[in-house]
Parts: sequence; structure tokens; C-alpha cells
Amino acid sequence: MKVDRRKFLKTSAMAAATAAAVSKVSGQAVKPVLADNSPLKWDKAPCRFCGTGCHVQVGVRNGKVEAIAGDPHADVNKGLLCVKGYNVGGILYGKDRIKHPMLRVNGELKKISWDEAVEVIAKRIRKNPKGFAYYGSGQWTVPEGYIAQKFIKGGLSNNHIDPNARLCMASAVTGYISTFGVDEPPSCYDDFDYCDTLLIWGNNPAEMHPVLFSRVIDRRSRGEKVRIIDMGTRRTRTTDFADDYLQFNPQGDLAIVNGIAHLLIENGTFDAEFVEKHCNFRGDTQPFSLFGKEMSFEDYKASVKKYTPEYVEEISGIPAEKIRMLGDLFADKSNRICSIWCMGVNQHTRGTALNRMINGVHMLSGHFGKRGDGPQSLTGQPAACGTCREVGTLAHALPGGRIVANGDHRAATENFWNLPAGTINPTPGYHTVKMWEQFCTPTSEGGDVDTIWVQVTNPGQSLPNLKKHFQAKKGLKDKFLIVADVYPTVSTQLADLVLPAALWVEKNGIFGNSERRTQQWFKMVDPPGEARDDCWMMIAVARKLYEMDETAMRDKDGNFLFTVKDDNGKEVPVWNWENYYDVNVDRAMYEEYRPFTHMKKKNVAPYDVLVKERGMRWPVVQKEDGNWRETKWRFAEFDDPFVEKGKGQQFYNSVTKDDKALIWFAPYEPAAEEPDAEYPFWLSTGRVLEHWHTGTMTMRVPQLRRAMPHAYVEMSPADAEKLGLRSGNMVIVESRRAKLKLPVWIKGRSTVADGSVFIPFFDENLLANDLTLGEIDPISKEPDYKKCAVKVYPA
Amino acid sequence: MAVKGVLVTLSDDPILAGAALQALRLKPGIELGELQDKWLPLVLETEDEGRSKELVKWVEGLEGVYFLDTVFASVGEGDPGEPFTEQIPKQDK
Repeated sequence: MKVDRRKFLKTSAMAAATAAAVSKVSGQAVKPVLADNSPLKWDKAPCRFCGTGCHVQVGVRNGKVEAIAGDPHADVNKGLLCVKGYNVGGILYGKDRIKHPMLRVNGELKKISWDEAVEVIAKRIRKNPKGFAYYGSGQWTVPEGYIAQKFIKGGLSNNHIDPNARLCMASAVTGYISTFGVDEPPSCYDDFDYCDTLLIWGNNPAEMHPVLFSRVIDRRSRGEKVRIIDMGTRRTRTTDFADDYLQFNPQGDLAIVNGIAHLLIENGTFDAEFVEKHCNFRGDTQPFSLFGKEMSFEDYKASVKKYTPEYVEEISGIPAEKIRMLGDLFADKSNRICSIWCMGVNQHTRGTALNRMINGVHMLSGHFGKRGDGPQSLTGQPAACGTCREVGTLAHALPGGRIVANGDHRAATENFWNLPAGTINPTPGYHTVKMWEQFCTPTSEGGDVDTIWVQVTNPGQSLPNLKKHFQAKKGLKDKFLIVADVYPTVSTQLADLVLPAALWVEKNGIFGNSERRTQQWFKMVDPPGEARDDCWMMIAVARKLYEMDETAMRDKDGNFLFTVKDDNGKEVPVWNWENYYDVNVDRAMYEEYRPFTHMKKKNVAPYDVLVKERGMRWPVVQKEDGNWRETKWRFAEFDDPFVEKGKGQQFYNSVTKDDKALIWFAPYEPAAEEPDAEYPFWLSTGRVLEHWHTGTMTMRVPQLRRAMPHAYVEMSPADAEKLGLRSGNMVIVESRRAKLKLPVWIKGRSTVADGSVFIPFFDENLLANDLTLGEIDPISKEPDYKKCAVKVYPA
Repeated sequence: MAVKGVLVTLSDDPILAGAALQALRLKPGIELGELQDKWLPLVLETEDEGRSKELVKWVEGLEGVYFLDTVFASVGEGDPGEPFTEQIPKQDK
């Protein structure tokens, strides 16, 4: 049997590699010719990790995932995978999977039954429904997010739901909404295949989105000329491939983008026709607001006037001639520019402004709405877009681009859900940082959140300033933390109730990636022990509330909010685990959600269409022949079906209701905390190639853990010399909030600037976020994880 | 046992590419597929994941290898109980 397994694995491996080689030569997807009688059953799934949305083929035998292959039919990755992707199967098989519900009794977690767990949660919620909060993530599948959203906003008239996506892409959301009147990128990954210049704003795609980055590197290997400009605060693997590396001082990015705008206007090289036809101008109000105040072109021109190359050099540290180089780049209409960014821009106290202005400089220069020529934010989680942004699992949002503060949006949502008018609360709930502040504040001192149910995320490691936002919960007897997860984490250490969750292909699912692509997969293997689907957990608790209270979790006709029927129209008791898979709950919830997407023309594809595809990019519309077509570039007549004939470009969700987008101005402002005599170094935090986020999954994959076993602090050679340090020496990194002991790494994966240090946050034993600051962007409420002040000294 | 299917992009320099091909043919644990232009499919078979990683690094380190993509990987058992004794990762640049 062992010989058979070896043989079929080798045959399958060669078939996959050969198919990939033939695909490279032909430019067409080629399906691997797998051995006859292969004992593996193959099915498709999006990768579980980042927001790129690669598709993998999952090989299953005897109820276990035995092999992973890149999917040659997937547009995103064309059969290729990164180191995390080809190890994704291993995340299911860590030996310390949580297998049973556990309740903390006298300080110890004790095994309990699911019935008991469901009852405990229902009683907590019933006791104080307004003090209950959901905390999820961009790893929630679309149906999971939809159920959580309906449960709390429709079932409890409470808006305290937020995802960890608040910590990573909320500034992109507010940036897009205030620019185009609707969230999510106008461009798509195909721009990587068409652009002449890839302009990278504070991002490291070679390590964080390696498959996407390899699309550009692959073009170069074919002899195409693609210029890569890397702008960042530290040299990374991306820099190794860059033609130009522009290292700027932290927060200097605000000045750089204004410097480009200044040059376009000063030199008369902006695209006057595009601006005249398609743009209005805006500036900030005080206090800050999402839609700001009107501004004329002359006001805008006057605002950017002082951002001369020399002034920008003074702030950013980038030489004036390089700023002019950027100005010339945007002035050249024949040069297609694809701008990409991720956490460096978003995790920023002025992240909304920066998002707006990068979009704006593309429109000002007319580098917009063409193949290979446009701005595009990337996300870090597989459904940050599909679930958090589209389903709207944010404290202020409703599904399909609606918001709780808008009466029409509330009414439409109540209508969809068949709820009595006035059910949905008009006041936005607490955003992530506020939610955890309230939870960690004693009830007697105004902390009005007393129960949080965490799903698919690890706030005990990922929140900023952990002492204040998480660890302060310890000892607060009236607070109750519920954590559903697959492995023990820093969060489960403080949890009062731990729920064992199914992971990835142990359940049905739908993700939505960074380029508006909705992706579906089916359950392929059973979860271990008593682990169960997050969807089921929520429906079971909702049903318990329904049974406990004759008004709870009902629509206006008295029907259960999560009624699921079979093909014969008979209700299936999906709150019973033994009946949960009698029907496809994912399909039912997704199809209930789908009509929500039409208002903002985000039309997602029908579930049964997605089953046949490797994802489809919305808006997806049905053609006359009955087939469905996706949209690659929004607002552009050549591709977007919602743009009226003859308009060319049409921002049909326009804030100003005139089909125009907004070009924003915001001034450079210093960071919330900057180095000084006592804390002389900038600290930036981030990820590494091998590990994903807090390492909950990737630290269970031996080959990934071996490759990067623990956190470190990177320091420049000059600073290390001044402190008499060598690689491997132990140091204390201390901020105003905490101190951390960890080894120094000099000239490691990246090279930080003098006066800066970098710490990755994947290591649960060395919590980088003990050090970070909780300051947030005033509009998006997203924290800045990239800038705070620390001191470093030998341990 | 660990099995990987990888796709190697060979250098445009025919001398470097030829030398890389020769080295790959001689290396135990590597099975070569049919060269398609500059793209070469390989199967790497090793005793465990640690050795597989070393072999991938060896292939990537050949002067005539421009790029390496992994397209297939067997899934091993997790072993979180195993001690990880590595110190700070070695400099790789």
C-alpha cells in the first residue's frame, strides 16, 4: 500500500508539473493527466490563507486530505502556489486540534456537551442582548458572515459586530466609498499582466502575495519589460526585484502622493479632460467625516502647491529628483501604471486619506479605467472583501453596501428579512478597538459589552496594545468571552467558553478575494472530534433563543429567522447537527443574501454558477444566451455592463450623484507617536512569508514552523553596531506600553532603515502587539501597526 | 515521505541552463520531466519535509535556475509536539 501511495503521489506530482510547464509555453490552462485508477478524489477550493484567492486542487483519500496541487484552471494562480498554499492541507492535521466544547470552571477548562454550550451562550445573550457582541474576521465565509449579521442586527437589534478586517482594510473601504461612492477596487489582477509599471506603495508582495507578484516576474522571464518601483520604509524581498527603491520616512507617504499631484498640476501634465468629465474635488472637515466638504479645482491646486519636490524630500527623505521621476511617470500617458498597496497604507492613522489620494492621483493623471492602468488595494484575508465588505459585517454596515444610519437602507433590509419596521438599530455599533475597550472596562465603569463571541480570529494576539484591549479582561468576573477556533490560541487562554470549529474543507464555504472574485467550495472531509461548522453554531444558538423566548429570532410572521427548506419546501431542522447537512445551508443563505448585492450593482453570481467556476468577479450578469459573465474593470464602458453606452467612464454610485468620482486632498501630518530621546526607534510590525497572521494554522505545519520558528527584531547594521549587537543577541524592545525580549536579526529577510526596527507578529510567545499603539484613523477606525516609538537595549 | 511537483524556469543563458540540467540529472531524489522551452517539470522525493525543503533550496540555488514554483505537494502528518530547536534563521541574502 505504501508503494502504491508513493507511486500515485509521484505520478500526480509529475502530471501537475508537466501541465504547468505546457501551460507556460502555450499560455493556456492545461489539465494534468492523472494516473488511471488514482485513489485520490480531487475537488477545487480556494486557498485558506491570504486575500489573493488562489485555487488549489485538494486530493482526498479515506477521509483525509493527502495532496494539494495548484489549479491550472484558476485565473488567479494558473496552477502555481506559494509556500503557504502548497502546505495548506497540513493546517487540518495539527495534533492539538480543539475537539470538544469546553467551559471554564474554577479557572480550568472542562469538557461539556454541545447542548450545554449552546444553552450557556443563549442564556448570556438573553440576559443582556444589548451587551452582546460578535467579533469575526475576513476568514468568515460569506454565509457565516451573513448569518452573524442577521443574527445580531436583525435578531437582537444590536449593531455590535465587527471583524478583524477593521484592523487591516477598513481604510481601503472608507477610501473607496468616499472616492467612488462604493467600496472595492475598480481594477483587477489582470492589470499585473498588462501594466508597464508596477508601483508598490508600502507593500511587500514578493512575500505577502507571492503568486500575484510572480505574474509580473513571469512576464519579465518571457522578455517583457515591466518596471517595478518599490516605495517603502524597509528593503524587502520585493526590493530585490525592483528597478527603483524609494525608501521614505514613516508617514512620509502622505507628502509623496501630494508631491506627485503638485507636479502634475504645476507642469500642466494632468489629464484635464478626464478630470473635467469625471471628477469633483474634496477636502476634509473638522472633525473628520466620510464625505468631507466640497473643494474647487483652484482650491485643490492651492492645497498641493507647497508640496514641491524639495519640500517632499524634506518630509519623506526621498530625493527631489526621485519625486520628479514619479511626477514624470504619471505624466506619461503611454505608460500604464498599476498601483498596489496593502497594510502599509491601510494601517495608518491617516489611512483613509492615503487611500483616497492614491486613487486620486491615478484619476488626476488619467491613469484609470484601462487595462493595466489603475489603482488596486490588496487584502490579507480570503474573505475580507467577500464577507466583511460585501456582506457588511462591520458595526456600521448592512449587506450589499448599505449602512445602518440610512433609513432607506434599514427599511430595505427589514423588508428582505421580513422584520417589523424599526427592528434595525440606526446607531452604528462599536468598531473593533472600541468594542474591546468596552469589554475590558468593568461594567461598573461604563464597560457596556459583557459578552463577546469570537469566531475565526485570534484577538488576543492581533489587537493593538494588548494589555489595554485584551489582557485587561482577566479578572473581570461579569465579562464572558466565547472563542470558537480550531487550535488553542492566546485568545482561548482567556476564554470562558471554547468551541471546536470545523476548518476550510471540513465544511462548505464561499470566500470573496481582493479582486471582487466570489469563490465556492464543498465540504470534503469530516472535522475531528465534535468540531462543527461556525454556521451551525450560530443557527443552533439562534434556535435556542427562539425556543426560550416567544419573540426572539422571529420574523414578523413568527417564523424562525434561519428557516431553511428542502427541495420540496419542507423546513429542515438545521439547528440539529444531525440534520445540518440534509440540505446545503450555505447555498440557502447565499441565495438569500444575493439580492442584497444588486442595489450598488455588486451583483454576485448564483451559487450553482459558482459551483462550476473557479470564482467569478462581480458584477456578474446573465447574457442573452443564458450564460453568466464577470466584470474585470468597473466603471469602464469597455467592460462594465452597468456603464451606459457612450459614457466611456461612469462612476454610477457617485457620492455627488453626477457620475463623477472625488479627488481628495489631505495634508501631511506627523504620526501619532514618533521617536524621541527616550524612545529613539520607529517600530513597524508585519508578516513573514511562512506564517499567516497570528500563526494559529501555519505554526502547526512543521515545515513552515521549522522555516520560521519564532519572532525576532530586525535592526540596521549601523544601529546594531552602535549598540554592540550581533545577530542572535537577545535584546529588550520597550515601548511606552510594554517590553519584549527577543533576538536581533541583522540583514535578515529585510533591511530596515537606520533608526527603525521591525518585529513580525506571528509568534504567540513573543507578542509584538504588546508594544503597539492603539491610535486609529479617525474615519476608518483602523489602528496604525506600522508606527510607534520604542527603545532597544541588550537583555 | 514527502513528494513535491515543481516547475523550474531555466536561465536564458544556454550554458547556465545546460549546467543546471546536468546537475539536476545527477542529483538523487529528483526525477526530470520533459523540458518545455525553458520550463522543466521536476518531482522531488525525499524522506521527510525537512529534506524536501533542503532539496528545494538546492534547486533554487543553482545558477541556471531563474525561478522555482511548487505546483504539487503531499500532505504529511502534523507534529507540533516535536521540539523545534532552530535558533534565529540564518541569513539568506
